[in-house]
Amino acid sequence: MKKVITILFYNILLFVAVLVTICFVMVFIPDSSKHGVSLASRFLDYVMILVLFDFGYSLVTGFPIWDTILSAGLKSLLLVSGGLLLVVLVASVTVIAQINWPENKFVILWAFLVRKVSAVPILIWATVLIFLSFTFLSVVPVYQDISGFNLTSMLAVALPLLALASGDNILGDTCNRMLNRMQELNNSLFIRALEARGFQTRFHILRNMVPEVLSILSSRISYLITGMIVVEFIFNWQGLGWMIWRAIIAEGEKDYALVLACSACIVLFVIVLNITRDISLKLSNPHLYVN
Amino acid sequence: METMNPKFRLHQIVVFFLLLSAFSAGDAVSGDREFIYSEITPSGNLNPYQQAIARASNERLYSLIYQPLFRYDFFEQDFHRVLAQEVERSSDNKRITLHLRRGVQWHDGTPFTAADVEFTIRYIMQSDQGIRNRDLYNSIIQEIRIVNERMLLINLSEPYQGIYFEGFFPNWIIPAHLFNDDFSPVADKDISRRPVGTGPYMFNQRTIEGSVSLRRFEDYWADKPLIERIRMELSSDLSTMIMRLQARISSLVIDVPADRIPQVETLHHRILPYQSYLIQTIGFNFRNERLSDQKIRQAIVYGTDRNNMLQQWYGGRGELLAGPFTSEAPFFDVNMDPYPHDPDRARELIQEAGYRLDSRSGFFVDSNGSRLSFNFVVPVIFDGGDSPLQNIVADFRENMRNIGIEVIIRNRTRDDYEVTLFREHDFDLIFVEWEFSPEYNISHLFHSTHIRPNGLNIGAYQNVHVDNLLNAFQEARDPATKMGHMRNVQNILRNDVPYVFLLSAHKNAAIDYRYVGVRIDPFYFFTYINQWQVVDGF
Repeated sequence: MKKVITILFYNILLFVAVLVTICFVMVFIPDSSKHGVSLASRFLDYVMILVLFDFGYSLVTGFPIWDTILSAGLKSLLLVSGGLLLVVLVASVTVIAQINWPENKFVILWAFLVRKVSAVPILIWATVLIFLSFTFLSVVPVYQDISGFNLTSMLAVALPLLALASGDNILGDTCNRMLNRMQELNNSLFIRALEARGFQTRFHILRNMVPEVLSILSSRISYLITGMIVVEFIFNWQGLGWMIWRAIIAEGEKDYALVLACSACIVLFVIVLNITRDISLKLSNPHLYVN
Repeated sequence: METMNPKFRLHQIVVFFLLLSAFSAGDAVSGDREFIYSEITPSGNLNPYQQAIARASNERLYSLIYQPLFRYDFFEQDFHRVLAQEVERSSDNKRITLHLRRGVQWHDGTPFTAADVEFTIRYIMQSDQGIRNRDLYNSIIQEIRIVNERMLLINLSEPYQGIYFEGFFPNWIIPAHLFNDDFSPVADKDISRRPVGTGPYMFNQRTIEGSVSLRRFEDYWADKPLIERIRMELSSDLSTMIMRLQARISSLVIDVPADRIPQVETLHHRILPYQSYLIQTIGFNFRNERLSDQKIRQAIVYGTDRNNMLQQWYGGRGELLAGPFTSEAPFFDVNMDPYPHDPDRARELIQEAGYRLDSRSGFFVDSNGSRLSFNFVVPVIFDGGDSPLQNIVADFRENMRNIGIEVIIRNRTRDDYEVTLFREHDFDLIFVEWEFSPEYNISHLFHSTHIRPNGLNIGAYQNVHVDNLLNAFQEARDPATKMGHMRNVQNILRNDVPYVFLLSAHKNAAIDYRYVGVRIDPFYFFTYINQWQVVDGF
């Protein structure tokens, strides 16, 4: 319990430190409306927004900041979690197929394609997918067209997730690391011993894969968040990344409160994921925490 | 083992894609009579007097919801009465009596009265934003008195000096009854999110994603438009806007860059060019000793190949400028010719100014061997679509290289650029776009009283004759006299060369063929929407 409290305390400290750093960085954003205002005064203004929790209304959307954040945060969460899920699913299927049918030509081709395709940057994937959809189907799958169950809605959800999951080598790297770990496990003494005794090893392999998958995902989350901003922009998903961009580029009317609120959400998401990873690791493999 | 015939497999794929296309085509065509257009800039606060900067996209929206007292007609080049019925002025021009139109209602059913006009003017006076006419009202309005529901009296401490008298009045009238006499600039007022006006369209709905839906106001006092519903949707970039237009999801793109026109001008869409009162210039800073030499400035103008810029980057869709006036602006002097592109003459002028050509570097140097070099400040545009600005800047640098002048480009973010332009004046040359209102008042740009922080005479240009002529122009009442003064101003400016007046590019709207009889207002775009026709089944 003490350890959990310590982890939580450090993460809260990290959360506050990151937000104060963002306040500090925002001081240097060129802003014609702040001409003549000292950097210290600007910094204090931003910190006071956090301290008083007075975010008010968004200059970008015209809605209260927290309504805006709720809407944008849900879109970003859907994108990132959907992307992660897609990565895990495709990587799991690929690795299991490679382990079970290593000589099958289709499996070899599939594994090769997955790795090569995922080497393409997310930006390229997103652009290619939206153009292909427009050229062949006359559909421009952007967020505002998601309504009801039809092709446009399906594409508007599926293509951003596909672009996010299949770019920036996230999928290829996940496949490689999962494959290595699975091969290690298959060759490990305790699995071979279990096999020799005629026991089912599937559950043991799966349980031992969990820490590896969580470790891969938490290490890839920052890439996904970066990719998320690109995907949000191209598919007009007005998520947290899009909001930050809009809040900063508006000339003479920058929405610092929105930048802070969006940043807080992203940081919170990463921290919660890290805490979840630590706790899951502890549950799945308690002896990791012996020392 | 049975194998699939490759031909059959191909057929299956083709049929699959055809089915998908048919499936999607149903989605692609927008709803009946709903007119969808795209913008890149989010609308934010929808109170027209709570904007830190004027957003063109919001002005377009306001032109559908709100109405002014007077509106400038760009085709007839005169003001028309909208919410004003009649206006009387005393002989000394210090007393204005305004009679308002009868039978006008706000979208919530409340009658429009003189209290609304009075409140709008007071609201502007107390605003903390840099709204047009705010300082003017605060300096010359002595009293505003509501005589009755249809009549308003305004007493001024001194006569309004604007070119058109109608320019004195606010752009949009806002409903007093929804503010409860509260002038505080708070964003949580309902009207900031759910605007109520007297215009042809009433607010229906808006989303956090930025789309704003309007529907026709059935009790509108003038001719009702045919289009029943309008939706403004937010796009991330120009490419998405064009794709959605081509897929016939949206029906209008407000401004298509010249290089994208062939892509848009297809079976279903046409391009409608419209005049903009926006001029592109390169400003000289007269605080720089080298640039205070008229010969150097003229050399730069002779050395700039503006025609090439217009042809190459705007496909010839626009006009070269001889001065600050576009050819359709009031007081434009038709006898003025733009400077020709003449690099030889440019080099001669530089030599006459006392510089010699350094054969090693190819640049002119002064008697101390110091290179003839200038800093050129250029704004970086993040969300301007496919702006050809960077190409024009590169062309200009190459043109100057060709006549032996070194140009060092200093890119600035929009905010840094504003500070440089209006406050710090830390530039030799600066790229500036000036957009004029219908009044087309150039005195702010060239009168010496505007050489100050935040003043519009950014290059500190001074000429006593120009000051006197601009003063005489303001005071003159007779159009012929005004024209005479302005002709002289244009002649002096042509010789003095306070700017390189580059060009005025036409804007190009792309609109679905279903909409005919489309007239476009260069500023607010939708002013004449009640004349637009819809052809069904096109």
